[in-house]
Amino acid sequence: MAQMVGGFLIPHVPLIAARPDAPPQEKSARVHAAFREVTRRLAELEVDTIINIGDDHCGLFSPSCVPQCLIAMGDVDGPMENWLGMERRPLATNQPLAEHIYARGIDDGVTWAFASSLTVDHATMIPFAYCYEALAGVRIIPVYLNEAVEPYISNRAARRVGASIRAAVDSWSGSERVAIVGTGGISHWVGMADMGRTNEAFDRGVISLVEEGDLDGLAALEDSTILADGGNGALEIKSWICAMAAMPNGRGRLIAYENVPEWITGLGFAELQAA
Amino acid sequence: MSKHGVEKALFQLSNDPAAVQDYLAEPAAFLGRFNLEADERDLLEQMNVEGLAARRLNWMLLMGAYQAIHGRAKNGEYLQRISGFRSPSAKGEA
Repeated sequence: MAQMVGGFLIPHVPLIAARPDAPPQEKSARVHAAFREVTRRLAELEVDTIINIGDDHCGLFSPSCVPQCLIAMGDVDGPMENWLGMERRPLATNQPLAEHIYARGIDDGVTWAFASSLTVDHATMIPFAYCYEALAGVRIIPVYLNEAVEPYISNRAARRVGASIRAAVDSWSGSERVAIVGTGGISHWVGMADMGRTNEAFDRGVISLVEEGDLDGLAALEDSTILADGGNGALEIKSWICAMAAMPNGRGRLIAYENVPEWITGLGFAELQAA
Repeated sequence: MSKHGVEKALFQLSNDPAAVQDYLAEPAAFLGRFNLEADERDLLEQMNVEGLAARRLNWMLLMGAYQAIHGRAKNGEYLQRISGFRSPSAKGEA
């Protein structure tokens, strides 16, 4: 049977690719080291399939159709943004497992949309380029939650998506070793007048909840609170909620936190460990 | 007020280089494709981001459209123009 062998929470900060030299070198080095640590742990766990939880940034999905949650279960390439300075390339996917997650989710009442082909954005491609690509043979299943366009996915729904993904992996007849990675956050203001501001106190509060394995506490954060204290980019902790729901009763091991206003974001890295 | 019509135009400008070319060549004709009130057409025709920001539109779309028209290098100019919308707690920061 397939196993969910690991969970991680990481940023998908696009400016690491677009403006790599913006922060002081030592700070940038610590961020890169954190990404490498996640790669090392994924390798140590012998992960062969990664479910990457991210969000669109008003580029993938037009206002004519905004999915609350979407799974890519076919042809995937990326990135869609040429300003990242990254070559667009195809990604290896695990289509059978993605289809199973979709089908199980529909049975569970998850409002999945699906993409049989998708050009992903930096929410998938930054984790791929900085964490996953070094893992030989690894396959990716991109998942997108609506964290950018009102009405946002609710924390409760994000949690339900994560729980359903976990149930699907646990019931899959294949032999995959799967990790789920919640990406994004923490504080940042995208396109807002406060862009460039970060809120380390808010970030540390979020990280404390992760370290305590307090999914209820994280999911209790109101969108209005997150927006006021962490900016619109901090709504990406809904991806963290989703990943934590797939690793029930787990606590977070903090890998690194870096406050990087040069990349307009407070960056958190954690591994979700079973209780 | 047709927030959704404005955001539809902003989305196209943000993501479709051909739409940007059409907008730059003949803004009134481009904006005629959308269901907009006269004041909204004016704001978009002038890319008046201060006025658009006051309409509580999606910030990512607003920035994306501005960058698509003026270039990403002009993001500082964009932020300066919308600086009146900084949150009260941030205004006191350096």
